[in-house]
Parts: sequence; structure tokens; C-alpha cells
Amino acid sequence: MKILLDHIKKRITEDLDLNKLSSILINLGHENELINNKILDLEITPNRGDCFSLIGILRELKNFYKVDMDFEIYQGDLKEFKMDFSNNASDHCPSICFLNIEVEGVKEKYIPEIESFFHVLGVKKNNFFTDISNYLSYELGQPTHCYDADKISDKRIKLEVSNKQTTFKTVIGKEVNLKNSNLVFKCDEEIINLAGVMGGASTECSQTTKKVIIESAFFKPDSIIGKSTMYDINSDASHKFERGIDRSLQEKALRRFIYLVQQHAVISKMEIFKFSNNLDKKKPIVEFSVEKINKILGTALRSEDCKQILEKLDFRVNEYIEIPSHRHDISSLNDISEEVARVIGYDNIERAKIVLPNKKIENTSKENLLRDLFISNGFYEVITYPFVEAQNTKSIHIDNPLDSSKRFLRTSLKESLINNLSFNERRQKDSVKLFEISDVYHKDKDQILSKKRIGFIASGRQANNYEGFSKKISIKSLEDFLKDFYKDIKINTIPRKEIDSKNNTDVFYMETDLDNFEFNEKMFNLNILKETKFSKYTKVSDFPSVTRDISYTLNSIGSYDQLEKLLISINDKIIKEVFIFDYYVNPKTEQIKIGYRFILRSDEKTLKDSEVSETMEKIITESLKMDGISILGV
Amino acid sequence: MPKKIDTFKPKLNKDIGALHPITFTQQFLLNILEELGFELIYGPEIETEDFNFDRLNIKKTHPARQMHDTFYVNNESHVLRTHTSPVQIRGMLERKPPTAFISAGKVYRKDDDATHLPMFHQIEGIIVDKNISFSNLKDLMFDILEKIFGNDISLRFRPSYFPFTEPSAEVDILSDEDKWLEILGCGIVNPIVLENCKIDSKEFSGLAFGLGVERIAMLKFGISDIREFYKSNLDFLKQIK
Repeated sequence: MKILLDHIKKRITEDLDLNKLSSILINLGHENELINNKILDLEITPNRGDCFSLIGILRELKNFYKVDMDFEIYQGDLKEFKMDFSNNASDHCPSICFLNIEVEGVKEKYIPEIESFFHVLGVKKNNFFTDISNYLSYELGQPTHCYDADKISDKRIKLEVSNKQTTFKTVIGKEVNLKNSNLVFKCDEEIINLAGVMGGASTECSQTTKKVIIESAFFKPDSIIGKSTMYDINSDASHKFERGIDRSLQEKALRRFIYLVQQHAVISKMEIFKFSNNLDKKKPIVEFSVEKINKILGTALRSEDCKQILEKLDFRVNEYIEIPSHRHDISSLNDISEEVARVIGYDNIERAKIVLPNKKIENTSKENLLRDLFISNGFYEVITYPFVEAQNTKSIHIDNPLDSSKRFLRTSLKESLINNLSFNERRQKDSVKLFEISDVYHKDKDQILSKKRIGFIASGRQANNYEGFSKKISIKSLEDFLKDFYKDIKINTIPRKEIDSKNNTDVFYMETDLDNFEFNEKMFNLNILKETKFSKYTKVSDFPSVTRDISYTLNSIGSYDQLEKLLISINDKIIKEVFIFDYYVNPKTEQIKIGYRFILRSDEKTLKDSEVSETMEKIITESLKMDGISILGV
Repeated sequence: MPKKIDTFKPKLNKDIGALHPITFTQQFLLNILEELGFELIYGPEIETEDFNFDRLNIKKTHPARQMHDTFYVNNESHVLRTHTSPVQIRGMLERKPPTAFISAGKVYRKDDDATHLPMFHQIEGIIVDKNISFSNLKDLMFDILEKIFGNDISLRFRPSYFPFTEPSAEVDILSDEDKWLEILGCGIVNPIVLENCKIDSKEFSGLAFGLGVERIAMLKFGISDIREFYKSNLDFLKQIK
């Protein structure tokens, strides 16, 4: 919500340090940003409907500044007029007033504070009454609605909950198909206003309107909530009513309306109609106990300090705390404690140690042991969304899916593992080993049941090193590392035609309940390096990678050591991975033949052959400078 | 002594795999919390509205309960939990205070854009005992965050709103770019929630907190795009070692 800083400055006598103001409001729970030192853009939490206005923010500041809270109103007598109004929904709207007003000679320019509201905040001007109504809502937080009085026959209005499925045209020209039940204002059975959300086109004011009926109501949040989303109407009024406005401001707001009109026009007629449901008049209270507040906060505040803080927030404090009519969010002493803490500043509450029952049990979960098993065998863990296209008789369906083609919760990890494999193969990976551990849900009659599943998929080279490079992953290679932990291994082969990639190595997949694994000594002894070091991540490139191999002939082990040092020291951004894929020692000649694979990829573009060659040439030239090294084919 | 050529073996790139960065971060966080004395418990991802909302004092009309925010399943009989808080409800119903436990896992919201995912991970913790106060909460939160990010961090504690805690707070951490980033939500357990879990709120009070695992992983690894986590891209996954 945006507030003009000039409007705040006008009501605070001291010189305002804007950064201090901003930080006071953050400490009060209102995150904000200063825009060009002119606008205060606030993020108000949904429980604080009372803060969606200039007066609301000023009230918050009373504990920190001397604030002029006097918003002048028309104080004179107001004649009550006879109106044919029936409130058939007083449960939803316990307080409502109408003002019947006629004006002459409206000035073209508004008073400065209203002009700046439109100019600086960029609010669109409409017509005189609607403009005053919009400004009033900004200033006091009370939305009002203006009906062109000539368009309402005999001032006959009723408020009711309507179940009629009909079309309603709003003041902004949007046609809405009303569904379910709606709180509406009607005139002669025609819906003229979707209460608390937006008025209708049939009774809207125009530039020439001089006679209006202004409605100022309190709607309960629960009666309005959800309507603006349902009909896709974003209105200031619905935003405020949903979060709760001051339930006793209706008449006062109309008197302020009159005052503002008086600044711009001659009023030739004004009269009021009031409705209020007496049942809602009793003021809510909370017990006042400083001991309890201190117990909740862990503080040692004095009664007078609490009292002063609360009174400046408009609470009346005696034996009981009387909650002001704009604070819908307060109903307990915990709420009151938060009020006190906000004003003191959360940062100013001392820390106090708490001792927990220290009973850490060294329990390495089965799940984590299995992770170690797969990782030590070159597998990477993936985590994927559970939303899938395929269903079976046990699938649970999502009533409101994000993507209508994925309307079911998975009953197996297979679909996502296949997608993950093909995704990586399309990124030039020739060795893919992935696993996932996840709860999987299904339906059995009326019951929703879950199982913890583990699944893996693997294809291509066994590893990117000289031990696994030339060997392909096979059922045997997988069984070798699983057999100690799983009795009844059944690894499946997935036909290549089911996979969207050009690779052609066999694809192996298995999935089972976690409980089918045996947890024995061997699993506990897996030698996984347990270091919680967060390595710094570098953004993954979406451009294709290129591989190049170099076969070296080395005359001694010393030459190998030198070469390793050299390769580590080459600092070229496009080299992403280097590993030895093969080596051979000839004992007769005492020569070592060693093959290195380089994987290159640019972060910015698809690499050209010439760029790859340039990098490779650099490596070759540098390595040939060393003694006892030659390269096959160079 | 020259090394013998016939026993020569080049250095072996072991080519072991890696945990998913979220699992890695989650284990790191759970270790810190278990070390402090919290017991780890789990709960289902498919929840009833009663546990996910009602008992947490999230009213029927609360915006979070609408179809555009929450995934409803099985003819609206259940929801995909929108937070790990229902596990706290289950935990409180099963235990007698004093108690201190944490829950961790996947949660779901109907969101999918550059900064929000339909599935993410949370860790929540709760302590219920006699005389738990806001100053205890503050101390514990600072303690936990210092264990996560180190002792030289700047933290800011500011008021916020959650239906299940009162007072409620959010904690911000000052980033390297001198910006405050929200890192944790917490508060004193709303007495209504304790009563909903059959705990006498006159005798006991509680504190609760929730951490977003993705947010912490992003800060610790320096990952700027949250969507990287669930692409299963090996070039991404290989960096976590």
C-alpha cells in the first residue's frame, strides 16, 4: 500500500528523518520501501486491515512522534431522510449509513492534499464524487460507494444474499457471471452493487452527476472474502473489507466526506440514513495483566509503560483492556503482548537461554544409509515433483492441478526417472546414474496410503574414470553392488523407444519399497566422506558440451606428476571436466601411455570448432614444453 | 628412490555420486537441531484440512485455503500439506509436554514462477514447556542461525503474522549486498493451537519456528535460481560434493 510522505509530514510536527521513519515502521511489522523520498510503499500483513490507510499508519506512529490525528469532519446537524432500505443481511453488514447529497458549482482543481494523491500516486481521476470517495478510502480506510441518485427510483435499495445466477456489469464495464451466493444491493430486483467488491454500471456517477447517494458500510470480512478472486475483480474496497475495516467509522466517514465536498462545492442538500445492528455494539475486552505480558515476552516491564504504549495505540486500559473498533486482530493477551513488543522493538527484547532435554540419539536412518550406498557407487540423488499424467486404479487425483495434463499423484518413480535420464542424455551425458527416495501415495478403497520407495535408473559408461570408462553399466554391474543388501533383485531393462534421447546404451531401472533392503554391517561401513562443506555453485550452462581426448606417451612417472600439475594449473573457463579414461604401462620401454578426456562447454554460447581447437592447442603446446612427453598424432 | 614403473597407477577419479543439494542442506540443518536436543518426527504429505488448517487456527475463509493456493486431492477430501506444521499438531497430540521436536519434508503450494515452486521443503520445530517466553524464542533463533551462517552475521527480528503463533516474528539476515533477506518465521505458539492439541494453555506455553530449506541452500551454495533444484541436471547435481 502506498502512502504519500507529504501527507505524513503534514501531521508530524518535528522534522522527519525518512530513514528513521522507515525503520520504525519495519520494527512495527510493516516492511516498506521509500520511493524517491515521496512515497512510502508498505507491505501490510493480512491481519492488519486497519493499516490500509493514512490514518492507520499515523496511529501506528503515535508511540514515536507527536501526531496530529485530527481529520476535520462536518460537525453540524444532519437531517435524517426517509429511505426505503431493507437490510436483509444484517449478519453480514451490521452497520451501514447512506448520505443523500446534492451539490452545485464544483471547482475544477482539488485541494492540494487531494491533488497530490492523484498526481503523485498516479491514481486515475474519474468524476468528482468518485474521486472524493477514492481519496477518503485512502485517508480513513473506509470505502464508500456513490450511486447516481437519479438512477435509483424512489431511493429503494435492499441488501440481501442472492443465489441468483445472473450477469452483472460493473462500473469498469466488466461483465461478471454471478455464481453461488453473493451479498448484493438491489434496486427493484436489479442488482446494482456487488457488496464490498464493486458497484454496477447501471447506477454509476458521471462527470455531470450532481445528486448522489453515498453508501458507507461495514461488511464482515468473511462475507466478502474470496469474491474478488472468484470474479477476478481487484478493487480497493474488497481488499480492505476482506482484511477488516473499522466497524464504527461509517457515519464519521460520511461527515468527513461532506467536509471534503465543502472544500470544493456548494452543498444544496444533505441528509443521512443510518442502520446499525445493536447486537454488534458491545466492546470486546481482554484482561490487563502486566505479569502475564511479562511472562509471555520474558520481559520486566512496568504496568505504567505497558499502559502508555497501549493507550497510544488507542486501547483503553483499566482493569480490562478495551479493544478499539478498528482492531479485529486482537482477542487475547498474547495479541496484546505482541502490541507491546512491537512498540518496544523486537530487537530490544533481551535473549534468554532455554535448555532442551538433550537426548540426541545417534540414529543413522535407513534412508540415509541407502543414499550412501548409491552415492558410493556413482549415483546422483534427484528430487522430482509428484505430478504425473499416467494414472492407474490406485492413483489419487488432484482436484485443481497446476498443469491439466498432470492430474495425478505418482504411484511410481519410473516416469520421472525416465524423464531425468533423457534430459541428461540430451545434454551429451554418456554415463547417467540417478536415484530417488520418496514417499509415494495411493488409494485403497477410501483410504489414502503411503509407501517410502527407492528407485534408480542407469545407462552408459560405468564411470568417468579409467576403471569404468570402457565398461558399460550392466545388470551384473548393478547386482554386484546391490547383492549384499537386497535378496531378490529384479532389475528391469527399459526399451530405448520409451526414452526421448539419441543414446543407445541399455537402460536399467529398478524400484522397490525401502523396507525391502537389508541393513547390515557392510552398509554401515561404506566409506563416504562426510563433510558438510557448502561448495560455491557456478551457474550451469545450457549450451552443448564438446569432448576432446589427448593420448600422451610419458617416459617416466615424474613426467606424469608434472603433467597432472600442469593440467590442474590450466585455467580456462570452458574446460568443465578432465579425467583419465585409460592408461597402459609398457614395462619393456618403461613408457606410460595415458588418455585424458576433456569436456568443454561455454557459459555464453555454443562453442565453435575453432574455439575448442584453440583451447586444446594451448594444452598441447604447454604439455609438449615438458621433458619426456609426447602426444600421439602430434 | 625413483618410483617403480610396474606398480604405477595414475590417480583415480573416484567418480562417486552426490546427495541432492536439498538433502545435503536438510541433513546439515537437522544435525544442528538434533544436536540442540530436538527429536525428529515425520508426518504424511497428504493431510486433512483439519490438521493442515483448522487446528492451526487458519480459518475457513483464510485466503491460503482457496483453490488457487492449495492443492486439493481426492474430491477435496484432503490437501497436499502446505507446510510441515500439521506434523507439529500430530506431534503435540501424541506427546505430553515438556516436549521439543522437529519435522522436515516436502510441502506444496499452487505456485509456479521464477521464485516459487509447487513443491519445496520445510523444517519446523516446536518446544512446549512451562514458562516458554518470547525472549527464549529469540535466543534460540539467534543460536540456530549463528550455527547455520556463522557468528559474524547480522540478524533482524521483526513482527509478522501467522495464525498459529502470537506474537509472531520473522528474522532477516543481512546479505553480502547489504540487503535484508527473510530467513525464518517463528513465534510463541498461539494458545488456541495448544488447546486444539489438548494442551492446557494456562499451564504450558510454546515456541515454534519454520525454515525454508531451499532458501538456506541457495544462500549457502550461492544458487540464484530456485528452479535449478528440480531439473535433475547432472551438471548441477555434480557440484554438490
